[in-house]
Amino acid sequence: MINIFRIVYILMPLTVVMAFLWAPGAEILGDTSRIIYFHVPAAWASVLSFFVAGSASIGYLFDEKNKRARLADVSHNSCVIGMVLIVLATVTGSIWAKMSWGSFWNWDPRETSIIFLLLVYSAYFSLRSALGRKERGSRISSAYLVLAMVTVPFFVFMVPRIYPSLHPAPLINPEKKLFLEDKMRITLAFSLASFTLLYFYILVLMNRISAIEARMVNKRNEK
Amino acid sequence: MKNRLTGLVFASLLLMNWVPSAYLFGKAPAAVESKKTGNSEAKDAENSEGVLWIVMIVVLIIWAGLAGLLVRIDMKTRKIEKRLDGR
Repeated sequence: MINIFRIVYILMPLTVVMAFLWAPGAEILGDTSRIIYFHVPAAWASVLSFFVAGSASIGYLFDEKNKRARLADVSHNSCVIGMVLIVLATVTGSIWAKMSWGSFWNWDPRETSIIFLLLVYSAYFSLRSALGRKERGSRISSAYLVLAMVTVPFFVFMVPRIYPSLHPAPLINPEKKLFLEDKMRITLAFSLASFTLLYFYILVLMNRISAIEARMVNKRNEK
Repeated sequence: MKNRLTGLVFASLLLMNWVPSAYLFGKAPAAVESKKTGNSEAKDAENSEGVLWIVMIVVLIIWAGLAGLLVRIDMKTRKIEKRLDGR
């Protein structure tokens, strides 16, 4: 399974070359618009990782013990990656906001909702470290992750469309269309694919390491 | 190993995203200036492909480091898995 994700080794450099050399700069923003190929995919991959974490948590809550430990690890690892990616999206977005709107932070609906998401998922890490990894703690953490997942579509997809946003119409608009030049659109698609593959690749690696740790603990307990 | 993976991979990822952002951020004043004055030379300087190439190469170098790290961890993990399986 992991072999598929190794495509990222080729796809990511290709994306970087396309982002800097092949795709044109946007009409008004010029070269600064190239940040879109790092900001949007990071945000997308973070949303994906939170969905994976939530889905694994649902699996954990309904599974009959045999895969539980594995699912708890999957949801936690996915959350860790999601957290890093959402920080990345916030940082790159903030830099882009300074260039486009003159200030690092404008309390735009999307900026506000990302802060809420950061808080929601930071709380998960506090909860998990407070409750531990035993049965009860893992069950409460998983239930929390399911609840957190429910908030993601609201904060990411609904809030910016309900309230007027500073974010550009090419990506967020009532027509639900992507108003980008063909070359920009293709590069963005490559970038989204690269970040998605990278996320899955790191997740699979982290899960394998978690499985090794669990096996080592079991062996030690057997002795 | 997991903590090392998390730390190093994420640091590289942050760097990989931060470099183009910081570079583009540095370019912002020139863009604003050229818009204000309509100075085509400033616009030309802004769009100089040379700098774009340098930034691209820096990002590619960071990616190469990250990819190398991932391959190394992948191989190490496989080695431990094999040892645990008794193969």
